[in-house]
Amino acid sequence: MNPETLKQEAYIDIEACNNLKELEAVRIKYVGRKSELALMLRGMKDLPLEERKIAAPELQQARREIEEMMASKEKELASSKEEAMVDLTRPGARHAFGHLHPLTLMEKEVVDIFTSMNFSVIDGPEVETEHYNFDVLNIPANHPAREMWDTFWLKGGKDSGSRKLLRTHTSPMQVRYMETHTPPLQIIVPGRVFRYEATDASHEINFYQVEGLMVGRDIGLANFKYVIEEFLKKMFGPKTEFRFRPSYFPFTEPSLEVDVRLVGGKGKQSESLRAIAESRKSEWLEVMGAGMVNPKVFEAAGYNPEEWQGFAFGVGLERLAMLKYKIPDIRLFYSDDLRIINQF
Amino acid sequence: MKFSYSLLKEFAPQLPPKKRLVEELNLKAFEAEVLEGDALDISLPANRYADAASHWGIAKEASAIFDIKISLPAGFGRAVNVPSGNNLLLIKVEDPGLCSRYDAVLLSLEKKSASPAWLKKRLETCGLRPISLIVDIMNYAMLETGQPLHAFDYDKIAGEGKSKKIIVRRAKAGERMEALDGKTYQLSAGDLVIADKDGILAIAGIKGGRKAEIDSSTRKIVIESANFLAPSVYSTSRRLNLVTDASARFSRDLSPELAEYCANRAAYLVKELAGGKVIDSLDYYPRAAKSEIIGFSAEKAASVLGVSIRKNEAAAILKKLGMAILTSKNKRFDFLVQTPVLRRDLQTMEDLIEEVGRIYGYDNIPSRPPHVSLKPAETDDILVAKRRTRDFLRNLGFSEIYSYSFFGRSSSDWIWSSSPKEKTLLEIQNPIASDKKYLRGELTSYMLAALQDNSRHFDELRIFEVGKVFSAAGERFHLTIGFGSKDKAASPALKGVVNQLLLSFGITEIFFRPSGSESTLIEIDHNVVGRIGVVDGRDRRAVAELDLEEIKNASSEEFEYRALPKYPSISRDLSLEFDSAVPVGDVLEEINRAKAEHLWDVDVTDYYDQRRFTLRLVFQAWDKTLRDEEAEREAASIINQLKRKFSFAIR
Repeated sequence: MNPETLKQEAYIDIEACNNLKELEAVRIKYVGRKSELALMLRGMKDLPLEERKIAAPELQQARREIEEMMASKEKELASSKEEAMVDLTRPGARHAFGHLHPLTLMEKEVVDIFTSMNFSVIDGPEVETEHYNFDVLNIPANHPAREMWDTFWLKGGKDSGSRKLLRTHTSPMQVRYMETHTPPLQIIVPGRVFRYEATDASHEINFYQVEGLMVGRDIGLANFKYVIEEFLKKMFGPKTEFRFRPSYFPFTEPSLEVDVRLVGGKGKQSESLRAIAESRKSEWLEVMGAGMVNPKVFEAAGYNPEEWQGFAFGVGLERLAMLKYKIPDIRLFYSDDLRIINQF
Repeated sequence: MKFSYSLLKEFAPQLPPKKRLVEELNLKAFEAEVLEGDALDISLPANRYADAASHWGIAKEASAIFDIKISLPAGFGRAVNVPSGNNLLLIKVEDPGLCSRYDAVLLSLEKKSASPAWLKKRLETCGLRPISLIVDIMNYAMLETGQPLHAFDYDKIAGEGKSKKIIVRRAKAGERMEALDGKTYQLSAGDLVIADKDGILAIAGIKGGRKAEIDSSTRKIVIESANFLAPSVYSTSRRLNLVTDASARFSRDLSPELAEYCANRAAYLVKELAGGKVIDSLDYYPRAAKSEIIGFSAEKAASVLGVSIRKNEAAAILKKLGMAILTSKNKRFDFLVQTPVLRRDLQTMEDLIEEVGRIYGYDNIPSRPPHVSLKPAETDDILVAKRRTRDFLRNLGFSEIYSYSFFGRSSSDWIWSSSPKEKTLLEIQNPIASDKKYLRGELTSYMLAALQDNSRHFDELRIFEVGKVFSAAGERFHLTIGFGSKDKAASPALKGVVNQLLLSFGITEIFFRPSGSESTLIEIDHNVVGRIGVVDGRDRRAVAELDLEEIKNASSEEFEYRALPKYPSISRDLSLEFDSAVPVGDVLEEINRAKAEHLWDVDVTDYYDQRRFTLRLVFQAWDKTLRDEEAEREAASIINQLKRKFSFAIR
């Protein structure tokens, strides 16, 4: 039999194999020790040199090709065998997946809502001067109004006004931003703030605020209500109810506080809000302080208060996050326990 | 501040039930809450102590909100037919700038008696402790009117007749006073005191002294109803760390007009309850306080509030709040408003607009979208960089922590800068704890703690933090990344993360420069931007800290298309076995020095130890198919270059 015919027959037999056992039988038949091919190869030594030179490479080539065909068939059979053993009930592999801090998530949400309403997002210094933190905001030295903001002071600085402190709120950015930008404008300033006070479940020495400021020719309280209602509805769901109450901040006039309440809705968020409201024995939850920018603040920033008016607000990120994620203690935000972080 | 509902009702007999009162106060005036029994809790803002920190004041608010009448108790108001000028006492105010009024009423006491039960109960409802009849009356009159009072024992004031003198003066430095509570206070020059010629009787507006204390043998009393300058009382009270009912009120700027109402009411109660008789009265009041006249424009109010309130309606609201409406000659205003003299907070038109707005009801103001010209919103670059960094690391399996901005040590170990300014930490003047005396100059210390704290719960740790660090040179956002593993080399893993992070910012000129045996500086364009290092000696924990502002500055978005190679590349693996330990970085540097023309990439594919590792060299030509011999030749030149420096065998 010539090598070419041998190859064709072998091919047909190999393709007909359904399992490794059959394939092994075919292997023995074509390339085993007693196979025709083996016998022919062994017989080569009896051939004259000239004939051997031509026939031997042909036979060896045929043997290589048959072995290659078998190897690929073996692979095919082996893989189909594996396929039969696939177990789709096995749990998925645990790929490393990171978690952003709940305050980062909260800040993102707040920032995204306000950027969707065309507010710019601004960063400001955490170490501030007395000038920007208090004086320009109509909070004079030796005035008990300052007691609303217990302050960490830095060593050094003697002159009043230039004394350094850790900002007690993000409001200093109102004047800082207005000093270098012309109205109309609308910004938010997320950032860390500090208070010198004993820590407990609802007080921390550092925490986060988002300041908001919108200034225009005739931006009024009705506009404030619209913007904040849109924000709170996006944050807590469309059924959120609002309450606007009078308050007092030296840098706004009028000053307000905003409460939220959820009724009717059966959403997850309303459930969590309701639980907290119940635990605090009040159906209303305070979420931010706000008001119309005091003309004295515009003056400090070099704006003409006859020409410009606008609103400002400050919202505590921890407070929002505690409401939204049902976190009972503000100090948990500053623990480095990944078993907590990895829940978000 | 605690209030008695029944006493409020005496001032406003038509007052609605507690619950309704509190609801409306919340919506239109002050935060309020119903407490147990007769008590209410009402939070007064600092600017409303002058008129509203009293039952009378809250009743006035209620009268405006509910449109009900006020009824004043007997003896309330200005003095009429009171004996005066009997020369039983003189008042000398040495510093009129600090004391705008000193009203004194002298009474002789006929009978001794204890405080009646109703008086004690009211005081207790409002959180005050009953002490003795005279003191209780002083406190009660304060609760009614908002004016703090003090009573001295007349006979204990030094001098007789005309020479008996109350002096309002500044203390001398180091002067002492023993207070009613038995404590001795040392005063500073400038603190305002009430004294006689021998010594201090009281720290003005803050606390009475032992010297002229009322006791069971007191026969005659002097009621002091005065006004002291708010910042002076405030700073003395802060410095002495002594906050009393009186000091809290004076600190919040009372009107001198209040003094007279209260003196008379207190004198009336002493007459009624202690059988007192007024024997003399004095009123030092050189310059009477005046009310403000402020123009009101309904148009401006509509613009600020965003709702049109008719001018008549606005005027009606202001009248209910005790203001007088006057005609304005100035066309800018619809009318002029004369404020009540006690309302020290009303100074500008915006103040009046707030009054109109809150009584009108903020809930009655519609919400309306603002009309503004469109200007693209922007986000500060550093905030964008923060967000990108966080998202990138989160996607690589890192979890984020937030640590405190405070620090216990005066130096940070991890900062790479050698500039003395950047190494100097900022110190807190009033730290809250000894481990929080400084502002953090690095984030890594907290990262090390986080790796340690979490190691019990996780086999592999991937943590990061983005936050501000501080130094005498300023504040900057830093990033720290921590990697911990039970069995894997930590530093290559972390270095790969840092490298990929920088690449994601479009930064390519990245260099890791060894610095000491356990850390490496991270350079971008020869500028040090961070540090990466092993922290446990076994390379199972590694941390990196980077300056995010530098990353932001170096970031580049200028990606450019480059055609794919048209010709195949050739790889050669070099398994090297060195005679002694060799840093891979040195080997790579030496390979660079060989300047092999077509060497396209070098990677460490297998790392057994510092003597044995495998490098993969990839050769690539852009203009032709590289022949094996060419690649072999370049590989050989690389091996020759290495042989000049190192002693090794190729396996």
